[in-house]
Amino acid sequence: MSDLYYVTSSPHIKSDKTVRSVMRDVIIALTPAAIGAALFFSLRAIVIIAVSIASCVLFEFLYNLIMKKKQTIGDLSAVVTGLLLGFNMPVAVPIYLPVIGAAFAIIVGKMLYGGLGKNIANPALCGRIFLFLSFSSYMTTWVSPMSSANGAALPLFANVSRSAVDAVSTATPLSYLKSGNAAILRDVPISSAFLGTVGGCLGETSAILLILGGLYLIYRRVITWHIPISYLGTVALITLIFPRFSGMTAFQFMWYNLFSGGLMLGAIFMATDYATSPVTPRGRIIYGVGCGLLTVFIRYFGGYPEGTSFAILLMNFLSWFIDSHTTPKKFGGESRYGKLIKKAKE
Amino acid sequence: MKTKIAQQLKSRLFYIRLLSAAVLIMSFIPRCSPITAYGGESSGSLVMSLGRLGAVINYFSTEIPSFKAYSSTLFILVILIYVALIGLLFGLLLTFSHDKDYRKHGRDAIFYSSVVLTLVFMVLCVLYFNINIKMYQWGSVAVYRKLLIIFKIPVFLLVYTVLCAAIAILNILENGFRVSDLKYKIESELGHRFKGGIHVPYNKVTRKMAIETLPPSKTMVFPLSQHIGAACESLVKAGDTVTVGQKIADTDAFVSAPVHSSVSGKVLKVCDMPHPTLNMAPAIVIENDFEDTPSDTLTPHEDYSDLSNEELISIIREAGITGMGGASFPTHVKIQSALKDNVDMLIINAAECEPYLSNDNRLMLENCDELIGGINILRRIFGLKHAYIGIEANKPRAIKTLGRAVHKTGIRVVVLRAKYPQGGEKQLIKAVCGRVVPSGKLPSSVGCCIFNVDTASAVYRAVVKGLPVMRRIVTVAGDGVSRPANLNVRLGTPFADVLQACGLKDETKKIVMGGPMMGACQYSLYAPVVKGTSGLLCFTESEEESTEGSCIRCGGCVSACPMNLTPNYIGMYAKMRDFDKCEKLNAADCIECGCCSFTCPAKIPLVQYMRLAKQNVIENRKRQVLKK
Repeated sequence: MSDLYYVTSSPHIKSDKTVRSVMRDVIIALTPAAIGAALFFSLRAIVIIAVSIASCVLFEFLYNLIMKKKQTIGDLSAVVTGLLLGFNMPVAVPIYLPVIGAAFAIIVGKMLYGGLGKNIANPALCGRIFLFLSFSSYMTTWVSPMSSANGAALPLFANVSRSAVDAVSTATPLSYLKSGNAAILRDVPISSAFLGTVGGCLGETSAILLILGGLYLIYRRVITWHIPISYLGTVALITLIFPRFSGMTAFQFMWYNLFSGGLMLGAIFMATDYATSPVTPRGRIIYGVGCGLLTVFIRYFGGYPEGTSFAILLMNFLSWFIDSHTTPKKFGGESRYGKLIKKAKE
Repeated sequence: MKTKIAQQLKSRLFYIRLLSAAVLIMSFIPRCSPITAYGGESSGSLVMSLGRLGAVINYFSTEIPSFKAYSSTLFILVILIYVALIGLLFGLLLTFSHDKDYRKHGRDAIFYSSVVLTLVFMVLCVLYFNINIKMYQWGSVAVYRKLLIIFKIPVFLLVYTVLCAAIAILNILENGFRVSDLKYKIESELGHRFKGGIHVPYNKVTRKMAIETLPPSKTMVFPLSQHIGAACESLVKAGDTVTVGQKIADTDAFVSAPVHSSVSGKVLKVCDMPHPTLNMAPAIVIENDFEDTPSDTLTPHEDYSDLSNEELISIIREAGITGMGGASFPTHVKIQSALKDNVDMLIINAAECEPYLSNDNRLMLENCDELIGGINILRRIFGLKHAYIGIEANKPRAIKTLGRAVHKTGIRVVVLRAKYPQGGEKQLIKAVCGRVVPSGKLPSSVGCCIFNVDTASAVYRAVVKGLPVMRRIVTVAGDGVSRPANLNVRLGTPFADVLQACGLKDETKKIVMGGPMMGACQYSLYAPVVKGTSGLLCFTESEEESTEGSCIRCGGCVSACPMNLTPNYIGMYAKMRDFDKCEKLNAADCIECGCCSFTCPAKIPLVQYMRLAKQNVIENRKRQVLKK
């Protein structure tokens, strides 16, 4: 019997859940889409994703080292950022592009704010938008998936030559929609948009694999249904009620909008990023609806065919504001409606 | 022909809607629908929701999704007929039972069986008698259309409504009718759910171990403050001899409870001693002479029927009974304040949602009669016909034992889905009867009064056996003891003796009094067992250095909080010492259950911050009141 015992505040048991285990779950959920990327776009996809992950971890390590801070790479959040950043690049980008993106994402997007949890915008999105605005031509050159010419045109590490890209390049479903090209139904049927055999960024093409990952995350209680459902639901509703394409039915238009571009990746993995989304259930629904509205508006009226990343970025800035206005009603407390009635009576 | 049917339908549709609306409205009025009256079957809520769903569909629809494959439909129909017939038979048998509850169950069974039979009969009618469908037509849309007719025959709804009305009248005749019932809906014996909460690993290793009696120690320590409220003053001084059950400390303060000696012997001294929750506090130290000389402080009342409420309450006060669940609020004060508020719901807290602890479970299994006796006394005091025991579904044996014991008594066992913190007062009220206690109010404001099972037994022992609170059941568990057990310990026994009996290991790092979620850490083993000691847990895990990470805003604490607060923001503002913001975020409503800390992936001690915020908010409020 010793005489000295620990005295701590209750509770004296804690759950097994740690930041590391949460991030591990996200990585597991993203794995199917990564394998899909390798299948659709040759092994170069894996190389790009790996470079992106490695440089993200490296930059976080270096930042902590230089700034003399506690090392934080163990929480795996840099790996998740790297994965998502890699997913947001076309396969034909030169190999130094993910490194530049990772530097921006980790240093400017995350560490300068104080690290994980204090950043106001999703780091991977920051990186993506930085690259998109700085290297537009690289970031919008799409390669047709599952093509036999890909193997020759896409070397594992070397830069892809212009002419080789032209031989295998294709358009995304969204650019078809934007230009009003009626050939979309023949060239990229909805089923291939769903499976992922269309042109696009590495990880965003396959809706089915991303939905699988999302279901895993919901099953493991890493994310809640609020953001993905309200986001996708808003997009589905608006595109169904106000279709802007004469060559197809409203339902077809809705499915194209849901399955193509970065919407699935954005709604399931980017918008649900913990640090930059609201924490209250009501706030999450408002946030998801906002993301959906902005996405559709940019797709309809904006200059770019794709609006997911800008929409999420804009809503990221609002998440604290949304939180502070959607504090849940305390147990046994009065609803706002009840309070209003009381005021009116007085 | 077509127009004729359409005309008929048009007129019938009106009646269908009328009946559906009636059914819907009735299903929401307590005691007016068969299952929502007090009690009922466990599956009641499901059947009720199905009934409601059916009524809603009937009201709004002119088209209803139909069956796909008829061979399997027929199979299902036949099974349904069998089930319904069996239900009908059992129901009929039950209606002849002597017990009121069973008669009601019987009526429920007859009702649902007849509904099922009617429905099945109608489907069969349509399939095989009225509509002549050829084999190859099965599966075509036209057939589905024809089948819709069965939903447009109001016979089903008519039967449903008539039966509802009949059973409602019977229920009202039996139980009486009060307008206040309309305000509160009691759904079924399978309780409601409260928002938030977490699923903790229960680790109830001691739940199958019988209660053992621990012999008293040589030196016993009786703190003068073992309850919430004013501390007692010692009635004895050093050198006095005391007997078992003698009152050794008392006070005139209203919110207080006297202390009794649990051994006979000599008073050594009255001085400051280690206290389980108050650090150091004045206590009476008694040297045990192991003679157990009895005293006659309380007179036993085998038959308490001629005692008045005041007499019963004064017995409870004199016996020093406090809430035995851990908070230790004096029971007589609770009863008196509840009597002023017209309590109509007596709830017994048997949830025992804290991991490791199994003392209430063992008490229910081994001393069930005392518990029921205690509940009867409490019912007598409040003048209530019914009482409800809220128990979590993870104690099947206790549920069975209680179920047998409450037979024909008017006490009902409400089985709750296991979730922490079920035993929290407000959460339990929500789970048992669906009432929501307004923020900052006492349970009696919604007509509820809650007692722990151990408290109810203590009331029985005090009134019928004339025994003050001198013993309690303590669960000793955790990986720091080699022999976990449920012990019947005399109050005042130092923790060291209790733990030694269970084989305290040398590598124990932490000793907790109470459950692991809300219990208090002990720094000294000389602190004694007090009235609120439900368990002693020893942990060997070496606490890692406080590795408080930064919040990643996952929202886990927000969804876990049973009081619907935002612990992450309150914690953040408390850290910045911005207590006005904390007050706006309702920090004062925190019940310190520990769900947020438990679930936090960054391992932030949120409860600690919540406590800080709560204390400051309450102090600020007091200061403002003083200013005014």
